[in-house]
Amino acid sequence: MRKTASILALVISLMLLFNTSACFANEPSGELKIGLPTLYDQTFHPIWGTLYRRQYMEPMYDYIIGVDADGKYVSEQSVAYKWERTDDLLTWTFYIRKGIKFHNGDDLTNEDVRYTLEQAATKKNNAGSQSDFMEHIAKVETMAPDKVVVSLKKPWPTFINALTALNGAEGLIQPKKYIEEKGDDYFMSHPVGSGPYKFFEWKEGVHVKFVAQDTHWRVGTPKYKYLTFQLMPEEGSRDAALRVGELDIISVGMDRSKRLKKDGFVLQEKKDGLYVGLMWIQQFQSDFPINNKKVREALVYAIDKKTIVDYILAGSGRVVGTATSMFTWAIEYKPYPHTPYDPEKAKQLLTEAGFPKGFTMYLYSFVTKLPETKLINEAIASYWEAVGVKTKLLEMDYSAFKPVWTKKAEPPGPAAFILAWPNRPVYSWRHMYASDALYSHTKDPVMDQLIGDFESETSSEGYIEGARKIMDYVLENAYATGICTTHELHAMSKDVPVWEMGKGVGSYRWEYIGK
Amino acid sequence: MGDNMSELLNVKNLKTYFFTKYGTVKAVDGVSFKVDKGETFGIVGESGCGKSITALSIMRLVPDPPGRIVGGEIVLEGEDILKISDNEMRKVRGKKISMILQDPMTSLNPVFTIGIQLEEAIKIHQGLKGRSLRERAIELLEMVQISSAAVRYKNWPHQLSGGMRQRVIGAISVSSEPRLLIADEPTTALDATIQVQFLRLLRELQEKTGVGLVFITHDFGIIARMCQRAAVMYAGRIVETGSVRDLFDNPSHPYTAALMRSLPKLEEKVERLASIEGQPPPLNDDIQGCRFAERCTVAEHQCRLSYPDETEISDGHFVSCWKF
Amino acid sequence: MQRYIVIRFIQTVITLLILSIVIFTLVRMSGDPVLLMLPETATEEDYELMKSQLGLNKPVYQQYLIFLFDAVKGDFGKSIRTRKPVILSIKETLPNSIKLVTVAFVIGFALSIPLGIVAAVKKGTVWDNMARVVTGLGQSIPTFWVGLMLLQIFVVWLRILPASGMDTWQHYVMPATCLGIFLMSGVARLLRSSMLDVLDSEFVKMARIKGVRESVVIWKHALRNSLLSVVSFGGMYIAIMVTGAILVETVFAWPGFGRLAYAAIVNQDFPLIQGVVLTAGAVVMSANFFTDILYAYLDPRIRVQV
Ligand SMILES: Nc1ncnc2c1ncn2[C@@H]1O[C@H](COP(=O)(O)OP(=O)(O)OP(=O)(O)O)[C@@H](O)[C@H]1O
Ligand SMILES: [Mg+2]
Repeated sequence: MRKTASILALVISLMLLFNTSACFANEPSGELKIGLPTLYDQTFHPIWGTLYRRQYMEPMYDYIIGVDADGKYVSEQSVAYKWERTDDLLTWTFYIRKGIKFHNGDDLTNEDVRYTLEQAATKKNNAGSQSDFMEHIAKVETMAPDKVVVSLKKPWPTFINALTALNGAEGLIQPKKYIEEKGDDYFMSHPVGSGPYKFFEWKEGVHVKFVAQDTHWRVGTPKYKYLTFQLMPEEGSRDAALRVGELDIISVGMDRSKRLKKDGFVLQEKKDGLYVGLMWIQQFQSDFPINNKKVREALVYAIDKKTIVDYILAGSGRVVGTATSMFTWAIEYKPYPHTPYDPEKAKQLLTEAGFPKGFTMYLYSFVTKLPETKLINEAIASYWEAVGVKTKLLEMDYSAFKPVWTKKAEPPGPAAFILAWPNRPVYSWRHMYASDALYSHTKDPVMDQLIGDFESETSSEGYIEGARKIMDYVLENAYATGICTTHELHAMSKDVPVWEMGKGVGSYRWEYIGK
Repeated sequence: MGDNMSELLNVKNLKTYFFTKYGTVKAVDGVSFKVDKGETFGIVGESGCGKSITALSIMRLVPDPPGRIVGGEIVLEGEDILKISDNEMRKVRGKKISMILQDPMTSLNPVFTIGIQLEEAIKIHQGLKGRSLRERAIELLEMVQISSAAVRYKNWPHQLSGGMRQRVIGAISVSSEPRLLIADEPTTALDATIQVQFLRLLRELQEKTGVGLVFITHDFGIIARMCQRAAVMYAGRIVETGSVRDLFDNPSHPYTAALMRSLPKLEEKVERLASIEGQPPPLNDDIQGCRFAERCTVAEHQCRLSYPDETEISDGHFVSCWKF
Repeated sequence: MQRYIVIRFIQTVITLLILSIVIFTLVRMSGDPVLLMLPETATEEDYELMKSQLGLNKPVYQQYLIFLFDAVKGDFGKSIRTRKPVILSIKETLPNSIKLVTVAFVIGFALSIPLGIVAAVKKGTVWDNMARVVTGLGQSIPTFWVGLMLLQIFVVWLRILPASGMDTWQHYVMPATCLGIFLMSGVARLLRSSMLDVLDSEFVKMARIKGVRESVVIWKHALRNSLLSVVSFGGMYIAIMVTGAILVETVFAWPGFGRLAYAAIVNQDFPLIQGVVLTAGAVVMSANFFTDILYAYLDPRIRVQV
């Protein structure tokens, strides 16, 4: 009897010992489940598909240039541990870190970096900055043992930025050999990267799951063994799942976030994380009323931006005067006054432009990151109606809208759209406003000239000056208008340590949680 | 009292009302009649006068709501069946009283074979099972003169003609050898020749089983052919009862007399007995006097004030009219 | 009966063929079918390859035959967005929806049959009014909202059911109930009215005359006949369920066909739309086919010729 008891005691104490030691053991454990309203294309090729996919794709890859949470370049976090440029900004040399391996065991070499840059400069690049890369990159070469040399067609002062998490997905390094062997289609759903998390499982319409490497050159040992991104379109379901612990972090709207906070959940927001702006579709068509500057101005005057922020966004955000992201480094220092709400002036401008009875506008309505986008669209439609412009909302998904934007598919009439996009610090003027660029619906030779001047600047003062000129010109012509910024909200359980989400577009730094 | 031995059914002052949102419809309002064992008693009257509701009241199958038997007695073989429980009544149905409905096309359940529907009735009251059940069913089909009964037994109703269906219903009705069979216009929906056949069949069944028959019809010809005694109904009331001879030779109520006058020839069938001027009163009107007064050529002041009691003007010949 | 089945089968196949022709024509009419089938990132070679795959240099009837045989083989091409073969996505999601809809049907009928019967048998009473309220609510409250309520009650408050996923039977409870309620309201109302008709019929009167027990009158004589009209609307319910499934699958993050269809349409993912529409067509048509056979089985007037 006593013997049994003592054996039992021994076993129990051993178990306790084992348990505590497991707690301190230096390996990833547990699972972090993140509930998202959309997983977009559900593909994993860095540049085949929208850049918003980085929300779940990022932990699987490494950027050519790494940044910290404040957006500063950090060479210890970069695959290119060193980079140099010539004074004319035309030749850039990157030194590639040794010893990094892809998840399939292949070494990450300067060939992979070259491949990644070359791919970014093709029409296949669908991750946002296609026209920048195609405009600039002339040639990419590798030099033994670890160098990559990029020759540019014209100066590109923000080239480095374009290779980081601050800009898009182009900086994520693709495994050249693997893709060439298996093909891009296969790679899309069987991705291989070099990041701290490996691709583990994709269940279409259900979740994407990643598994941690025990140790990684950039992150060390990740806290969580599994990182799961659960697709839950309905906010109410995400809310419920968070409350019962089925999810640890959810993306959430303003309304619900307040209740969740009251109930003891932690809110983590990306301050001014989203920028909401209005743009025209095919403004260049001469038979569209919005081809007339006065009409565009009128439509901007007609919108009460402050009411939108105060009531639809519950005051969580601020009205902006710039026609593009606030953090655009070149113009950040100058507070742009915003166009005031003035419906009388709007009506007067419409009359002057020859539309006293108004006309019909179309407003594409789709939700990407901001659940309130729909309400904002409805508000704008009613403001426009109030000055006599009939407004029809075209509800669709972002993916369906995208061809309208990029391929210039014929709209049913003069149209506009609101986009809530991550408030990113650097912006490509070319690709928004140049006559022939992918995302541009402006055809204005003055604008093209300004963009050309800006791009050939080599001094940073000149660069800032050039950017300001473009911004002033855009505002003067009402080629676009900003509405506001707002905070991007996540609610999470108390057990998840708070971390810095960083400043990048769709970059969330999940792999740094608990680090 | 000595009569009681031969008395099968005694309906006394039966009242069946419908309580609708348009008021109380007095469909049957104080009906009394007797039927002797083995006798055929006819009820004749215009459409809507309450014949079917009288029959359904005897079966206690008045749709409730909105209908309800509000008064009277229905004495069957000495027992008032209005006083027994629902469950006991269920055992009376099919076993002691049975009924044949007007429309043979809809009286059989379309999704069961006639065999099943026939057996169901036998099973409930006779507790037969298996082969003997089946044999009894086929025997009954043969009894109602259905040829190749063993094959027909497996047929669904839609495979039979109207006349055959009515005979199947006849077979179902007499399957448990009831004491009383109510036939509510059983031949109205049939062709003339089939009608005659079916009436003959009913008579034969009656002879074989000695069942008392209440025969409801518009057709005086059929009354003359089938019945010993009959009652004439008008607007929820019986106005005259007597032997068929009494009714034809000495119609005493002005309504009966008018009906007889409107018959071109005794044997001829008439669809409706509406050749008298005017319309029966709506049954939800509260009429104190004689209901026929409005259409009656000899009506007096008294007729509109109160309803006349039944008077026996000769042996077994009753009339409700102030003339007597 | 056999003849009937054969005829209905041929009709079903013809309907499907017509559907395929409609889709084929729509694709050809909307400009360049090759562009519809390719992602924005496609190259010249991709374009040429797709062109020869679709047989665009051949006469139209051959193009249709190629399309038809591909469809019969289940080859609908690859999704524009995910580059995953469409047939794989369908194979993964369709069974999930079928499972869900089956359970929903069971729940829906288990609820609606007693409800419809009680409402008809106790017509005009409190019971009938209660049933009317329940079915009225079931029809007028958005499925979506019902789903959120169920989540709040069973997941957040009672904590007895999981919020999402489909691994255990517990996962089926809420989505299937939600969909079942939707179905229940329609079926119960239909059943109530046909039951009222049947209860009023002469053969029910006849059964009572025979002395048949009231419960047997209702469950044997009346129900079987009332179900006929319910079954005859079977195809409609399948169609309703498809719509309902999209909502329910969204609320409960159920990886089903409804959501695949929805995603295909909002993404304008043409190969996927094509596959989804044809599959949905086939599913609805075969459901119709089977309900017709069930109807014939229940109704000897169709099954047995005179
Ligand atoms: N469900 C009901 N609700 C209200 N009133 C009813 C109902 N059923 C019958 N009645 C009333 O009872 C009266 C008698 O009906 P009944 O069916 O007994 O007539 P009938 O003499 O059999 O006529 P027919 O020769 O046309 O069969 C009708 O005038 C009708 O107004
Ligand atoms: Mg009648």
